[in-house]
Amino acid sequence: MSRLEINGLAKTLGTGERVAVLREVSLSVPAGLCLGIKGATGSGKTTLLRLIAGLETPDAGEIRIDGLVVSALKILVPPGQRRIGFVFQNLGLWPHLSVEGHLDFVLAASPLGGAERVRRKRELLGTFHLGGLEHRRPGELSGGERHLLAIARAVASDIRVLLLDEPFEGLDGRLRDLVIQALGRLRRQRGLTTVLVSHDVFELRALCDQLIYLREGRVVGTPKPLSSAHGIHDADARSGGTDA
Amino acid sequence: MRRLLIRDHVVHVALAAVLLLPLAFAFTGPGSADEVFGDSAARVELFQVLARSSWIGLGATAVALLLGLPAGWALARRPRASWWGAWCALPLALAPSVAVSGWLHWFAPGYVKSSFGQALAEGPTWSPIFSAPGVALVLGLGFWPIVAFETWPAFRRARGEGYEAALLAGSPLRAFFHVALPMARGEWVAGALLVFMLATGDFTVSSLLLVRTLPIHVHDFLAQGRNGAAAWAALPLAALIAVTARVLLRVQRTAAEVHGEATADHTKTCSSSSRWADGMLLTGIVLGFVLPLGGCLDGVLRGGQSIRAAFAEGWDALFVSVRLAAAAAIAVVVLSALRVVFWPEMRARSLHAASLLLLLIPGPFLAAGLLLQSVQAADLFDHMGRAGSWLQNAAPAGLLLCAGYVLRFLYLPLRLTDEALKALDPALLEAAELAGHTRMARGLGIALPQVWGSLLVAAALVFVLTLGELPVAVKLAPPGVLPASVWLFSQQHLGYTESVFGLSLALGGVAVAVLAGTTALLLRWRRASELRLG
Repeated sequence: MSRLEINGLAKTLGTGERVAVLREVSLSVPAGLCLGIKGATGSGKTTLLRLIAGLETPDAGEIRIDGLVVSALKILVPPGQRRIGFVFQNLGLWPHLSVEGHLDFVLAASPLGGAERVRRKRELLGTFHLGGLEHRRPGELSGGERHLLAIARAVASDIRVLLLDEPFEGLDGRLRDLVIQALGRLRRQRGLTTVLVSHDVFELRALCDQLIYLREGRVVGTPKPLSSAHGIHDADARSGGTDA
Repeated sequence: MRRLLIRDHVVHVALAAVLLLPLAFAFTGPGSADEVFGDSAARVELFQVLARSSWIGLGATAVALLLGLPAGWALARRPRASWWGAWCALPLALAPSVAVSGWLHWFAPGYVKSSFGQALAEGPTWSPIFSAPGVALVLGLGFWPIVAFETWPAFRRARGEGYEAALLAGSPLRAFFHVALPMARGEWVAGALLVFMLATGDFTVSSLLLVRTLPIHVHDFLAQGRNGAAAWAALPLAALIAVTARVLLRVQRTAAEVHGEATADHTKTCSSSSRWADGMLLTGIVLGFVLPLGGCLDGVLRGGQSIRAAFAEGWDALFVSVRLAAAAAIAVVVLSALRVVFWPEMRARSLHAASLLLLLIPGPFLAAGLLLQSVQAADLFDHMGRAGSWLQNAAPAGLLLCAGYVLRFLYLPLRLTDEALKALDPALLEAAELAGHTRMARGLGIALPQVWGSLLVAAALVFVLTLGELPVAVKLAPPGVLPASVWLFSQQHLGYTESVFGLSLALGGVAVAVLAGTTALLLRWRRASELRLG
């Protein structure tokens, strides 16, 4: 299980007029727990996840995983060496690879042995209801199945931290419940430290242990435990969050 | 994510320098700047030919804009890979010397029937086509697809709700000029600059229509063995091209920034018909391809020889050209694939700029530089003893010519693969990076399968353009290797016989077959993808 710590993280984007997307963001996710992030469109949620994954470099501040600095001003551990899984908002599936091809491609880069890879692949296909669809490409899958494939791909190798950027958008209620249950089980089994960006109260309640709000690139208040007496709606109202 | 490594940029700049090396060698031959700039008569002549080249460039650009803008607008209603795109490419794919054959058949029949020497003795009174405007017209009718292809994606974006709102407020033409055209300004300016530079550096059409331009001036120095003087003579044009290329790259970059990096079309497109634009597109195809090729067909049919005899004479040259073109197409595809595999997440701007310069620089200048470079390499091999002579013997006869073709047209595959990579969703590569795959694995496993369509199109374009390429071929063809364009050019100077028209027709036919085959393959692949999607 891995602890995720972020201290004073700042990031500006844009080529001409640069816009501060994140300002002095500090937070900590205890090992094995799930942190939910809520915030309006443009509040910096996705950028925060991309910085954690190492897909962007911070302008200031640092990110630590298990106490080791993975991102700082002059330090950047390559994304592939961070052991992080990422479910992108637009999924980012590989159109030319089948379901099996997706999992094989990820597992090929992992240190798992041949037999273990086969076992892991079978397990993922079962867990995410992708059995029987192994040879289909993303274009031949339904919207829900594509989401499942994106999540299965993200957790295929031995990751320490799982980043989910609105991963359930477009899933119908029954399928969403199934996926959330499967993800919850997987998180507990592997002790995955998780960060979930979502607008949906149900998803946040079902998966997360703590919740933070981002507004204009800043964390508003302190992380709220989702089991506390304060409901999400109350906290949302206090933070002034206006979800798009 | 764009963590560009400085090392990669340095590698790109170094590769660009290697690509441009032949241009530096062009200055090493005999002859000096004094021969070009020394006395006032030489300076006046240089100024005259440079001005004439520039006027031809401007005229060709005007023609290309007139036909290319409506054609791009008409194409914007249609999918990226379609038969319309292939037909639109036909005028560009037609070799310039073939176009000249056809136009002369229609507009200067007296000249066509006479021998070259006799025609010259009679003076330039045959037809207005033998003039700078004539050259500009022929070039513009061949180059308009460049404007159409440059503006196609921008017009697709422009055909959205903004255009529909303008349609509600006025005529389609008004909506086009006041909404669509300003929205695609960067793209049509880029297309216009490209046409201007290609037309200014033209050698083939000017030479066949007896209009003395700067590339011919340069070629004459080269023919006298005054390579150094030729290089100095080409310098003003090279400078003009370098400045315009700089502006072009800047315009392209600004256009990409304005519309976002992704060129994939996600916007809703307006399906309203534009008959005037469709009409201009068809006119462009007829004027740029059907009429000149029809002239060649008429020339064959009206000739005294049998049709078989008309085609037989240039057959060997055509076969040589097809082999060389295939080799060049394969080479550029391999180079572009390597570029994708090594740098799937990086723009190749230095390589882009270098290859653009190689495309636009007058062909004789590039060929002379390559030839001098090869001579120096041969001297080096001689000093290496047995290993050197083995290397020299092992090199195939047409290697230098093939290298010339590759350098000349490398811009096309690099540009097309760059566009395809820009259109890729970055998450595809990022997901592979997070999984721990190396950059090469990402390039090979994810990026390359996504851009193969662009590589195929690039290979087809390089193939057809190589078939008609003259300035490089005429200088670099080794003894015993006679490409079709060189054979045709030399025969055209002797007279426009049925064999000239026969080979012209055959070259046009090969271009049609290659473009049609490529389009069929792309459409079949797209249909298969759609079937899989159900």
